[in-house]
Amino acid sequence: MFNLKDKKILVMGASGYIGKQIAITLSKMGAKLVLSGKNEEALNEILLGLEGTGHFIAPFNVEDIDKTANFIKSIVSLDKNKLFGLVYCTGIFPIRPLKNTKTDFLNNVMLINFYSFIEIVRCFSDKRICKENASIVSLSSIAATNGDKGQLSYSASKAAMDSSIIVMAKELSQKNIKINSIKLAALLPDEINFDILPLAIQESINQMKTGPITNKSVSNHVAYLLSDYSGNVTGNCFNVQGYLK
Amino acid sequence: MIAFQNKKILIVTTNNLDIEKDIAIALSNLGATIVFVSSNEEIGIKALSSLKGNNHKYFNLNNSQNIDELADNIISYDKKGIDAYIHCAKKETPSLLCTENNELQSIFNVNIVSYLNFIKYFSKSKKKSSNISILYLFSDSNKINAAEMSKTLSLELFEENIKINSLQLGEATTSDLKEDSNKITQNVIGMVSYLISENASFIVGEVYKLK
Repeated sequence: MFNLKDKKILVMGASGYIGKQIAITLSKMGAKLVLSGKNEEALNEILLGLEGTGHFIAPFNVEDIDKTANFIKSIVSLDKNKLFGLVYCTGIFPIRPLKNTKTDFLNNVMLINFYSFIEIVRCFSDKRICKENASIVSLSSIAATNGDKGQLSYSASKAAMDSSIIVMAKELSQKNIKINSIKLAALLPDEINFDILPLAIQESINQMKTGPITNKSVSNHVAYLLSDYSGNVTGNCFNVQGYLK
Repeated sequence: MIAFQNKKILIVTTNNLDIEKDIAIALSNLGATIVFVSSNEEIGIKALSSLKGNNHKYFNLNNSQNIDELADNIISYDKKGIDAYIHCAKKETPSLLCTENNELQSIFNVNIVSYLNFIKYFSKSKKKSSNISILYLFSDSNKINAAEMSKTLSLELFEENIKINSLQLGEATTSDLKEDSNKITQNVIGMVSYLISENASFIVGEVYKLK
């Protein structure tokens, strides 16, 4: 659908449901992928399912934030090619009420969902790491502006991400790097049964009336934002909420 | 690549055709049949000659008694329903205090009333295609617009397979278009063709801004 032939793209959180589908979709469009995540076994399994050749895995725990710079350098060293794209779908989605949201818990959510995102973008945007006209896409959530009970830490981390997109877009446009996020309402990967979702999410999906957003749809949106087709559109947090008000 | 083979796309606009013409050319290159509706026949017909293929058609907004009659003609000329409808709400009011009542009404008619009447027609017409994607294009400086209706209209019409989104073009986007700002034009064309395509069928009722 979109041409990503031979574009080297790092997918963070590739072992998750969404990251996996994004990797599969991008590989079908010709991209050369570097899959990253904590679970090496899962990454290897996903690697086998990709189309084309020239893909790599690069296991990394984003909680080791001090090692990010070396991690990103090692990705360029894999084939001596700079990166064209970065997709950040690493994240955790904890539900915890305010009374139990203590600083260490909050710090951990921010570390994975936000601080590491900033650190990876910071390292990625180095001209020795990424190519001209590079593109960054992150996955955000409607919770950034309309979180539900128990989503305090998650909402805060996604709101921080969205605010940072606008600022980083202004700075990175000088380097011809575009950065956008996709703000999803409720996403239901094909592999997950609707009935086992928390009631609040089931309710959101029902209100959307379009049916849940599938990981395939999101993957196409990611591909659009990575591709030349989206030109130099940058600094946007694209809502995808269906009919949900 | 996105393709619009055998798709019929309606573009309704005001007198001038700048970005609309570029969008139409790009969509015709992707296989679409374009129907232009505007009130300036000379410019509209001239624009058709730039399009790839020869099934495209121009209709004058002023020549019909009402939108239903116009929409009937748009559908009957080749007996095909509309697959996508792009409404360009570009008629602006420079200053509210200097705007006469009839001018204000004219802006409402072009930017909002005709848009709602086309949607109304498509929602009740049995002749429309099974799915129709609607995109409302408006500019930053255009205060009289129907962009915020995207969600409520989509909610009302989702059972009829009509989905509606809006795209706001930043001030720089619209003013620079007269100059040779190919990059900005490409951004608009890319976003428009993506949003009305089947690839973006899960994007409904949103108001996107092109920065």
